[in-house]
Amino acid sequence: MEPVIEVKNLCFSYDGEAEALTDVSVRIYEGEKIAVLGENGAGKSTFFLNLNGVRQPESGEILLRGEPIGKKNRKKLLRNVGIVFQDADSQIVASTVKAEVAFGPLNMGLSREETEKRTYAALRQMDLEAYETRPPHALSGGEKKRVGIADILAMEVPVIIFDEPTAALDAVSADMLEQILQQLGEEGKTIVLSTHDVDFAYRFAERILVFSGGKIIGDGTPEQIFSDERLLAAARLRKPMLLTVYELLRQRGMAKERERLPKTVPELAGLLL
Amino acid sequence: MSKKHMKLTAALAGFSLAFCVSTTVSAMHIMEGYLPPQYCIAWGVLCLPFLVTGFLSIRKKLEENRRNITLLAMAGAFIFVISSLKIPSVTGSCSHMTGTGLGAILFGPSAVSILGIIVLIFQAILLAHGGLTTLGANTFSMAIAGPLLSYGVYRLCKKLSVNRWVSVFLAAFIGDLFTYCVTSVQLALAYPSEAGGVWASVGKFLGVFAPTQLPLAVLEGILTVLIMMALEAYAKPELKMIGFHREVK
Amino acid sequence: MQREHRHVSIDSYAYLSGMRDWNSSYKVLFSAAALIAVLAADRPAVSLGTVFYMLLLTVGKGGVRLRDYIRLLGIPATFILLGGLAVALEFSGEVPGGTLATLRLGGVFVCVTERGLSLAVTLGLKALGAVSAVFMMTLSTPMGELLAVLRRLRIPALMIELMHLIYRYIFLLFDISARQREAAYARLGYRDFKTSLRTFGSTLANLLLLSMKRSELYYDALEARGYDGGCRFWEERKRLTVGQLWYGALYVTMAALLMGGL
Repeated sequence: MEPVIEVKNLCFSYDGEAEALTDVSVRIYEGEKIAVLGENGAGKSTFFLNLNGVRQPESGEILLRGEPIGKKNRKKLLRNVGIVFQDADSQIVASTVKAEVAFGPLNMGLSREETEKRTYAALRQMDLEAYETRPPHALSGGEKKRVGIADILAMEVPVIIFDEPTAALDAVSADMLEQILQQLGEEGKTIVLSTHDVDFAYRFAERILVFSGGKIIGDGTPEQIFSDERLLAAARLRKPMLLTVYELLRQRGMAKERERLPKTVPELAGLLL
Repeated sequence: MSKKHMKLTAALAGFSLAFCVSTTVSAMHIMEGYLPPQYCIAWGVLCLPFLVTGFLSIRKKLEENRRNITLLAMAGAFIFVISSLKIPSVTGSCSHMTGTGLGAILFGPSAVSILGIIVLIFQAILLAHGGLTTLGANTFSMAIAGPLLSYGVYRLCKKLSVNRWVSVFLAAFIGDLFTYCVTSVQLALAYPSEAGGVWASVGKFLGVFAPTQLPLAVLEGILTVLIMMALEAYAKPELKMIGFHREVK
Repeated sequence: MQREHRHVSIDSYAYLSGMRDWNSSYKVLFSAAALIAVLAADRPAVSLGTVFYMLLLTVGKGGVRLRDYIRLLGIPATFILLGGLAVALEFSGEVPGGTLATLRLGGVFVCVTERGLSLAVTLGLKALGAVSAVFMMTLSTPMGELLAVLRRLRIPALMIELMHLIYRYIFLLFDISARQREAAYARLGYRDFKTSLRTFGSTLANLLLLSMKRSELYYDALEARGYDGGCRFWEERKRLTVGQLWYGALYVTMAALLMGGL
């Protein structure tokens, strides 16, 4: 199967400063749910900007469905990969919610009709219809976050990147966001997200990339990544709570030994002896 | 003087007094509707060459690097915001900076002309300070004449190797005073004194606005120095970004 | 974080106005026509007529609370009072004709002449009339729509783009500065006048730095959504109805009658 995006030996630095990304290679396949973990400054956000074409690699290559992306056709990348920024305020530009969501489609050169259709669809999906005529500065943090997601949904890109989607959200909003992410996954979108919440990453992702010092130091299933103690230490990551509990129970002979590790609390309960 | 006139005068004076206490003293924006049409147009036309120069310089800056657009917009927003934040005061009165001198020193007078007119439009629309009909006159005094003189004073002081903070103070202080003088002249030209002509009228306008504007100019100077001190203390690399590098060496 | 942007209450009325669905170009034209009428007529009757007409329209149709509207109308008060004072007073070596009151200061007479006083009143009312005419537009038309009208008036795209961004950033900076202020208060940064000035200065310096740093990120975010320098913002198209035209026609009729000396 051909990957949607293939990154080959990518290196990147911000104007002559120390390298932010070094020799990064990764293949991203259609419909994957990938969590990117790593400390602040490990290169996650820079990696995302490269994936979306906003920043161009110094060396190395990015291929979109096998087609190499250069300066000339980088707009193709923009049309296929959307980023939901961590701080919605940094993303929102327009003066009403509707105009904000329509900004991306209009930049893609879509007609007024198509733009409006997509805008309303995205607003509906994010439950924002009532906010259509409001200015962004009259919204709460959670509402802004939803607008940020609607922004990208309206662009109907197959790959959506979420930069720390659950950061600074209250518990209810965070749960809601997770549901939205699940739903997008079910719709067949490819999802790449960064997070510091290992429990969330473990629950949600099918694959995990671990960044450290601008390099990918781990790439595998959550089970593989979170059983690799040395890797976790190198990336300064903690083990998901669920796994820690499961291991403890197993050591004490209170849970069944299984190849497939439990992902949810009910799954763990099912393994209790 | 007819009875109707007396009533109108009394009503207007009462209305103004009632609000005068509570409203804010900011830069001397000439109010909406305060200048006759021919003056509105004349001041607007006078601004045009400066605005075109400013526009071209901004466009050139953007052609060099598109990324400058958000930087410029931030600078504009910053000028708007500092001119609507309340300055701490001893008496509890409410005054605001103009940001003219600071803007000119940081961003240069040509960029400030364009940012200035945008800020003035927003002040007229969002705050009802100044006006759309008086936009030309206000742009001339606050976005062109004031910043140009501020910048000139700053450069001159540098050439004469005056102490840095003294020159920053003088730039902001004199820029503010000059803005206030230009505004007084603008008002006087439109409304010359019956007995003494334009110059007597300039004196009158200078006189009535002096109690609010003189302390404001001093405060503006002090605050501009404090801001520049703070900036230089922990932000030399960032100052480079906004084109200030020619000054900080 | 949801904050009240009390600095710019005019803006929040615009989003809630009952006249928001009016055609925006028409509102701009209406407001401009009223401004011209007030300035060109130069008669207290037209100014007063405009003040009341716009008050009724904005309060009645736009739904702005009367108390708030009167408060907004008070914004030019200081200027009207001081400007009026300057226009009304005359300083002279001798008492001119038509003087209503005189005060002798040494060798100079400070007089209030009939002409001066009447000019001051006419001017003050003109300012109120003009402000009212502009309020009708600004209290009912959000900035995005005003900028769309400017674009149609062939203002350079770069200016419109800058204005869009500046408008958005103004609110971001207000939010940041409000948070800074709270933090500084909490650390007694405003305990006396001298400290206050120092705190005020350094928070502004901080605000500038923060905004400059963020502008980089904001550009990335713009570009990530396909922005390439074109000014493409969604513009709502609002229908011009006969009903809206009636309000304009009524105003023009009133202004014409008042100008005719009614």
